Amino acid sequence: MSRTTDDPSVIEDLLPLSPPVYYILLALGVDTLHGYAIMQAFDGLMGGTERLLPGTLYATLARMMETGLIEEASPPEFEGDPRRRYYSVTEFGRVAAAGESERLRRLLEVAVAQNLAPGRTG
Amino acid sequence: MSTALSTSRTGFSMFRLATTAFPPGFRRQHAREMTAAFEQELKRVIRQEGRLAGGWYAARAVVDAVRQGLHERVRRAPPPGHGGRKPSGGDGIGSGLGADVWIALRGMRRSPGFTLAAVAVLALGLGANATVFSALRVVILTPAPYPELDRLVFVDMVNEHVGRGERRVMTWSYPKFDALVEAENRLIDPVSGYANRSGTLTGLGPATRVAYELVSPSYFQTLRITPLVGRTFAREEGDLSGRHQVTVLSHELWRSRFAGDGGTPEGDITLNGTRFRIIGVAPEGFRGLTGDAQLWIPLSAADDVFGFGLIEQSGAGWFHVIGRLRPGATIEAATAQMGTIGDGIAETYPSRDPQSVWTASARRFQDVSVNQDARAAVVLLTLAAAVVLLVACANLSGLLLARARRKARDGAVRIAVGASRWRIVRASLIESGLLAALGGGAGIALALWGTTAMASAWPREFLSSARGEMRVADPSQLGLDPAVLMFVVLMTLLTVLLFGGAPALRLSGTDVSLTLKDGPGATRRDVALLGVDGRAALVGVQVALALVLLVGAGLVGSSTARLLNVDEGVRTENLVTFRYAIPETSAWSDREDEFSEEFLARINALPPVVSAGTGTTPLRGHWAITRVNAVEGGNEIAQGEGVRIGVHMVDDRYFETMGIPLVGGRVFNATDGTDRFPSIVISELTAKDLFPGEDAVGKRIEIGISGEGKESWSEIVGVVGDVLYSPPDQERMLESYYSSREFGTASTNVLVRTTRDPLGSMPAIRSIASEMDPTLAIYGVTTMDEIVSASVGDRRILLVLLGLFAGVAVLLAATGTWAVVAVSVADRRRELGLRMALGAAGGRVMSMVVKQSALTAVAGVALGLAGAAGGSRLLEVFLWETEPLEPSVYGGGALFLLAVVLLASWVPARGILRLDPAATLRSE
Repeated sequence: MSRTTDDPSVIEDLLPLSPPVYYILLALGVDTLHGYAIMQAFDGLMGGTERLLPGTLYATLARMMETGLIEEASPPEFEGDPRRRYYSVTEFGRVAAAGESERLRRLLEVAVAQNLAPGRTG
Repeated sequence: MSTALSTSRTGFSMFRLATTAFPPGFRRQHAREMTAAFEQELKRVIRQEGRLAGGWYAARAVVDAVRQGLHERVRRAPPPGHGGRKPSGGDGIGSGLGADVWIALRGMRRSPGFTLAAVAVLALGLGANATVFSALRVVILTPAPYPELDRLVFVDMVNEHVGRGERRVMTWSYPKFDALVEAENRLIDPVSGYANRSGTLTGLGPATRVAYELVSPSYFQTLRITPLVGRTFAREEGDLSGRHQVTVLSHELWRSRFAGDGGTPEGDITLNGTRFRIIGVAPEGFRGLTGDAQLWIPLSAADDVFGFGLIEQSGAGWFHVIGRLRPGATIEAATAQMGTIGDGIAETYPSRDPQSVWTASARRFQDVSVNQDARAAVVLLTLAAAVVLLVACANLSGLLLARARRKARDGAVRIAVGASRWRIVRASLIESGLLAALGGGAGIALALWGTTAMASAWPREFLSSARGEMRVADPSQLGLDPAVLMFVVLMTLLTVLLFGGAPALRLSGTDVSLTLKDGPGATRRDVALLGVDGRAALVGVQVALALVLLVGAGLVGSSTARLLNVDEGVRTENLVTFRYAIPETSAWSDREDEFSEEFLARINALPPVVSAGTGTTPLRGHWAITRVNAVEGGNEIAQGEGVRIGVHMVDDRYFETMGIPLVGGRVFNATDGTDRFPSIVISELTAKDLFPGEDAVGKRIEIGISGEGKESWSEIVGVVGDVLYSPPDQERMLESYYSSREFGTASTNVLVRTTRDPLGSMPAIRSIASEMDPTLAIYGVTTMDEIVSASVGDRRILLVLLGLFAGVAVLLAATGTWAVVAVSVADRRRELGLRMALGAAGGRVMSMVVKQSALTAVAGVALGLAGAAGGSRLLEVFLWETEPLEPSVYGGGALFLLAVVLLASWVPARGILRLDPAATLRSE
């Protein structure tokens, strides 16, 4: 499935991204990773406060492949486990993640303005 | 470490099981990697955070996998019509009973047609059963409310006629009963006589008519009834020597007349002009064995209230006797002893007829306290209602099977993702259970109405025991008490298991891989093939059971129709009868003949009146039944051996008014009854029986009716048509008539034939009566049609209910057939379309489908005919001039049901004609 970023309404349709989709996009970043590595990366990003469970992870990966947010990448040469599939974020996925981040940023601004965001205020 | 290992192993195998929730395609691509990732992560969590955290993680991961897997399945294979629906995330199989109930409720709301049909079918089945069970309980199951019922017996006077081989249970006369009481070492002790009568109660407010019982002093002790206030009769109050005018009042009478203030009742009442001193009050609700007594007086007071010497008559039986078995005595021994005592009594009071032998016997109280006709009717109706419920269950099973077909995929998915088959069965049972609860509720509402309707239609013959000894069933007791409700709950449970369990088990046995095969078309056909025979069989069963009920209703209906259409011998239309009573205070009281003459003349002068006359019996019944003692020119007849003959006293216009045709001779005129030679008119049957091949007119017979200054022989002056004075289902009797002038037996029973609605003339007749005397009472107004239809009695309620049940069953069988054919046509859409695409005419394909259901119906009808033939024996007692195997009823029922089934399959099969063969090919 190929997607272009030309049509902003396609992105609009996807937003808001479900938390697992957004997490996976964040965990992948610019890297090419396999499933378990995505779990670990996410764990590292969130400091263990949120967990990506394997069922959710793989089901979400499959859906994201279908939507074109990620694509399967060829494994690196050092990979010895033939079961492992590697994924990387597509251009479309990057735009979607940016769109979601922007949406969250605006929400956060509102939250700060309403004094609903705890912690750093200035 | 080993525990950590086992945690990870358990978690691992659980997770691997959970991954089966994912669709196969997904599993092929990701399952191994996903499982490996889970394993690695689980080990890491256990290592870094401990076993507990590992366990928690594994649990969450398992639930998550199942959830995502189901989600994935739904996403990949959207069900038809649900394509755009966003899956709600699902609660998988981790949810419990509450979720299943909620899912079932949601499903019922989504298919209101199915729910309504199911609830209606159940309500009919359960409502019919609850109503009939209520009757069953009142008639059979509820024992009489007397302690140690099994020791309570009836003591009968028995008359056996040696010549005719007749054995009849009779009532007791006072002298014979006295001899029974005096018998020594009785195994039945005490013995108590009782009789019910009605009389006029005065001295307590306005004069009223009350029912009362004349009883032995031991009556209350025998029944173990203790008085609420005061006492019951003392032993010496039964003696004839003294005058013991004492009475026990019913609680109702005491409360209404004495305001029931709780103190010892004092005072008197006046019954038929005799004063009785009140000595006690019976407990609330006790109205005597005859069921409607307001007060009790000693048997010995009979002469005081009747006004003539009944007590001393040894030949006049007028009361029943009950008793209690002594401890240790058996009913067999007691019966034998009663035979001996009875023989002794017969020696003391010998019969004038040597052929007629008197003795005594005993019967169990329970054998008398159940009206056998009512029992047979109620048992029959109970069976019929059970059959209706079975048909309803079969019908619902069909509905649920058809529905299960649609839901098979859902169930298969759940099995595929690891739901146990028990879980699937449970979900199905929950759905049936909810339907049953709704249906049961509606059934109870229906039964509330049904029992009320039944109480009002309760045949009078069913109220008391066969010979009127006691009140046996109280229709006011018909209703929904805890026993009936418990019965409904039990029936509901049974129903759930019957109709909910079968489809569920079938579904749980579904081949999962077949059902889950890709492509909705394939799934449909595969599942349908699994169920089509089962559903056809269910229809066959419904057809068979419906036919059983239909034949039953047909047999009773045919009997009833024959009873109603039987030639009464009179013209019943536009004929009304009533009685009048001249009070003693009236100026007419000593000129009754004069009154009758003028009254009848004025009624005859009314414009709509064709004819008015009087007779001792309008229809059904006799003034007397005697025997033909001698026939002129005939053989000598031994005493008491003559044939029985009914006697009626009529006026000159009776035959004209009743519409009884004159066959020979003449009817009565003013010359009859004026001299010492009695004139008699006999029926055609009597003439043929007594004077075969001869003209009876002018001959003389002697039938034991005589009067002062009259010859005992009567001359036959006329022969008239036969009239059914006995109920049509009883033996036809010889009948004879005397002029009411003959023996001075003027009747106050008036018959009026009119040109139009006979009741319309009653106001004019009443005003004539009140002009002649304002205190005159006219009562007992009945049309002849009412009298005739009343004699159909118990058959009527049976017919109405059987007809209703049969109708419901036929309706269910028709809808069951319709549903099966409709579903089967839908299932076979591709196959049938393909046949048509290959050149078969639509009509031929359609007839093929109809033929298949016709075959089912024929099998069902064959089964039903056999069942009906077997069951018809139960009906035999209710049939009259109708054979239990009456071919027309069986044939008619079978043809009718076949026609209904064919129509019910033809309607949905027409859908085949609308199939588009081209579209079918494209979808292939």
